[in-house]
Amino acid sequence: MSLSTQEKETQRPTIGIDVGGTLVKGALTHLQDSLSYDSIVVMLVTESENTPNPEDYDRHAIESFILRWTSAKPDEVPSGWQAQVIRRKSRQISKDHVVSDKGIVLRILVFPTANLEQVVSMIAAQRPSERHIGRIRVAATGGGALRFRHDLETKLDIDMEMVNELKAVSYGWWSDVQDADTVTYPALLCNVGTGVSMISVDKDGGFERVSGSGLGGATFWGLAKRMTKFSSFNECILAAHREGDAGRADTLVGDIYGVKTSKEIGMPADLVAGFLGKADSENITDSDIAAALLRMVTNNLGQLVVFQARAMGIGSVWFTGGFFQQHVADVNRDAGTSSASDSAPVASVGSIVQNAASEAVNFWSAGKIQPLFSPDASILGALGAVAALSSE
Amino acid sequence: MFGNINSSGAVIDEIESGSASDIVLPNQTGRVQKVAVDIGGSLAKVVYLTATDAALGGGGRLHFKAFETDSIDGCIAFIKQLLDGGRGQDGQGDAPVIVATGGGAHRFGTQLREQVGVEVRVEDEMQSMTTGLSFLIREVEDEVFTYAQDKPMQFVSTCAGEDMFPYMLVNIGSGVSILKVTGEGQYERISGTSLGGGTLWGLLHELTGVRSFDEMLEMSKSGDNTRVDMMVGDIYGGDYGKIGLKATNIAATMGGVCRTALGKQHTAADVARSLLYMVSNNVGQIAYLNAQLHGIRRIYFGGYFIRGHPPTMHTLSYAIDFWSRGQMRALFLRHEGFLGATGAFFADAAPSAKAAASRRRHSFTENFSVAQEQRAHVAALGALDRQPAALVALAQLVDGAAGAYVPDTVDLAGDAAQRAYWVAAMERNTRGLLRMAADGSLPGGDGSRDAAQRMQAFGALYLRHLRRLGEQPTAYGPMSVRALLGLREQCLHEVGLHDIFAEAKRRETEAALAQLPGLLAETDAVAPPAARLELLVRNVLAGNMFDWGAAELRGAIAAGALDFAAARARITWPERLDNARAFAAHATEQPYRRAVVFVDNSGADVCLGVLPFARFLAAQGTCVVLAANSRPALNDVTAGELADIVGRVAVADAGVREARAGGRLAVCGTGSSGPCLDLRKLDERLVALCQDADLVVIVGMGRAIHTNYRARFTCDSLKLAVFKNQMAADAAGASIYDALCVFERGSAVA
Repeated sequence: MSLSTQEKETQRPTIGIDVGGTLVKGALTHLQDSLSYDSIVVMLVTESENTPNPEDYDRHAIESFILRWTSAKPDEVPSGWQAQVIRRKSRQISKDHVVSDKGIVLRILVFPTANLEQVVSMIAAQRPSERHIGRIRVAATGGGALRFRHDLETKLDIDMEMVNELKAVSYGWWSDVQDADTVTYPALLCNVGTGVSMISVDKDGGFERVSGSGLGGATFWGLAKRMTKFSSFNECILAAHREGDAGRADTLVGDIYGVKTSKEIGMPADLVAGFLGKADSENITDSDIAAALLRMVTNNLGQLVVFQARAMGIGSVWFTGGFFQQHVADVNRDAGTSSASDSAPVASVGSIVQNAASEAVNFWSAGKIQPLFSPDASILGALGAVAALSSE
Repeated sequence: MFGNINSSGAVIDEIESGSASDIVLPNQTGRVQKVAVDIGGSLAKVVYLTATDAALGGGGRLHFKAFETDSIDGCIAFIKQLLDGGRGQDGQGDAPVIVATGGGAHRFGTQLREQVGVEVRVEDEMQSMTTGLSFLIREVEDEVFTYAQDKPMQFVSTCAGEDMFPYMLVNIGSGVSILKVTGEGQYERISGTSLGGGTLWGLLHELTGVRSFDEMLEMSKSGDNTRVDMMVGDIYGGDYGKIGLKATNIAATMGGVCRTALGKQHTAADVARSLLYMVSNNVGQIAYLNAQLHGIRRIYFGGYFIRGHPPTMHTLSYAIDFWSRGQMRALFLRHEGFLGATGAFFADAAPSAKAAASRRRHSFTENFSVAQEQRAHVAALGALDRQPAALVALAQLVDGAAGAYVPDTVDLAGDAAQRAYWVAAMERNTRGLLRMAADGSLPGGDGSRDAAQRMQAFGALYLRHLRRLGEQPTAYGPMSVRALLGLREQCLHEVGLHDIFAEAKRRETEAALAQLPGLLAETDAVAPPAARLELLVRNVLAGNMFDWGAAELRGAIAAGALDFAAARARITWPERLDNARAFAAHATEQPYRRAVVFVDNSGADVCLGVLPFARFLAAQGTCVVLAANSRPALNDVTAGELADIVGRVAVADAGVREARAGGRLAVCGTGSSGPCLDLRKLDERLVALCQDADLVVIVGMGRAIHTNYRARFTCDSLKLAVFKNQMAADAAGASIYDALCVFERGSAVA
């Protein structure tokens, strides 16, 4: 990397990518009105006045790519991909630093990591030639970013600036919620993507990984893929929600003691004794298995995170990561926080998973620890990469 | 089927062919009046006690057996057969009872009652588990161990009484229960998870079609989880050092199958391994979190899920070590799956907190002679033999209660050369015995077809165990000369050979007693007391040369070519090991109040060596307690035989007669039936009798060299033995036939 300071200033990354174990999350950020190429973080710090009109030059191939898919109609987006445009109001960053009242446009593109190679070829193929303005910097995070760095840099003609994954997540979360009154520090983040990381974040955005687990989102999907007919995560979650009955796949207290005796000994007959203990039953549907797998993973998550919160003596926990992805674009949503309890009744995939996690936290903490969800749960890594890099 | 002492040829054949099980043991009586059954979601575990014939010393044996809950009918039939056998015999005694615990106790209670036709008493599941665990920790030696791949089965001394508590029990069955136990009968369920054995079973049954839990565990052994899991290295291409994750850590269980780009090809075995890791890791993590929250350091893992399966134990241990940064250890139990059933069995006999705080411990010994379940895992499971007497530690033993005392001199598990030597030596010895039995040269062999068959059965059984121990040194717990010798005795008893040397012992004793008056006259003629005592001490060693257990001397003894004087002449006395004179001077100058003498062989050893020595001490006013094996082992003299010998000598010899009449010469059983000696496990009556002893004398290679070589005492001690074995001599830096005559002042005296 041999960019001068000046070059760095003019080439602030507007693109963040988070190459996870399962999904690649890309975020393209700019101001709504001017379509400024300054990133969200630029906006936090300073607003450039002399940004060129985007129509004035060709976009970099990778930007074009994201623009193209995020502008596309939902049915044109490849299966397994998600694309959305989020418009958010700018906000006050600190009491003495009021920034633009313009909205921020976030273009989010998510696709399976398995497609990465193919995507890279697609972008490389449409790279504009002569009028191209040169290499751009992309803030990158996620384990896969390191792994695929060489490929991405050479084939896409970009400079990747690596940001520690947990830093990106915590920074993304922090910059997302830092102005919210409800946040207390240290905060506990439970980031569930492929696996699980629990991160303690202090009031300055500093972070520490305090715990983790290999029983995460990919475990759910890996098992579901092997045990059910569902071909996508979304389909699986929705089916679990609509038709699944976890109790048909789980061994319940009633299965062991009998319903009558359960009552006699004062244990609820529908209490789970062993997750998936009846997965081999005959009259069981794929939806039942999906529901039981979701309950198993989220319940375990809830238990681990409640322990961590208790050990840290704190009363709430934030869930982040791809496992809680929001699929319904909440247009013009206010930046800030939302907890599961006030999320929309619409059964989006994200809210189904969030509700399951909330239930687990409530169960294990007897309602004493509050589960919280960041609105951009799944893309905090990509956003945070941009934010963290720009703040350096 | 159960029951009768069955020693028919058919039974012997069964033992020989390797299908032996607990049901044909000739040293059992069949009366089973109480059966405990712990019916879980996946498995039903049965525990019951059979009494050992009083003629063979009494005591009993605790049996363990498991059934899949799905085939509960088989379990019920088994229980019925047990209890019917008991009833069929004499129709006396208490009414039979089934003590049931576990989730299924309620569900199958009625079925049990109706089909077996006896009262079913239901015990609380968690109460039973903690009772069972406390019982096993307190009463069973070498029950608790830690596990690591490179250090399998390190046995942990458990402390009886208050020191046992608090502990945490993580019971992994269908689900997982985490209990905090603060005292006898005092427990609290603090946590748990439903992600346990049932989950693993359900998932794997569905994913791989395995039919049994054992099949599943077996399958997972050959699996490679990295082919289905997403490893940290798969994501990062290497370690993620910044947050302490290695490339080989699991990032997400089953995550690898999500990403086709990884091109992971996998088999059912890989999935089995992966999910086994998932459950074990997760349970380990939750266990650690609980221990941390409650400030507990001892974490016992129990439940049938573990089954001594190495990858499971390794993962649980790794998780505890990883999360606690090495501050806590995962503890495992040999009888891990039977906590509930064991506790239920002893529910009405659970000791009060007061009794538990007593020094009583280790009253049960694991018997592997006919292992109840010869499983392929680390922990082959033996039955538990209850000693007829309560066993406690010798009061004069330094650190006896705190667990620092280890009876064994050499840990054979950790010493390949010594292990190979001793296993080979035992094999040779066994083949020698078999030859003697075959050609009728074994004294006492009655030449009957029955005896010969039993001998053959013994040989097959013991040689099979030796082979197994050669391959898997810790299969039966800690490996030592004591364990090998003990196992041989157990095997002999198991086939109904309770005292193969009875006739040899009798003959030798007769011969020795005939020589005694002459020897007494000779030693009595030495006037200075100190010189006389020194001679008597040296004679103890001469007597100890007469030992059928010493391969190097067996030929000479069998040929009658070893006489007392010749034996004494063969002994060499290395100066550093010869404290005979110092002891004699000390003991005559200031006679001891009470001496306990742990004796060895019958014949010349006890009659010509020990008895004159004891007679001298008694004449000085010392009260002498002769401690002999309670039951036969090799040609060691038993307490019963020794009492008889003393009685006979007393008739002819005034010294012995007076000592006996004056209460200065008593015989007491040690509670042991092996050629070695564990001073933590002595008959409480002996320990009580020796409460004020100020001298401990230990005679013989098995008791003073293979074991107790490094034992320290609060009072003075004298260890007397001859190195009759090359390897033992080499290990001690001595030569064969060197005398060990070590006199040590007590730690509380000096």
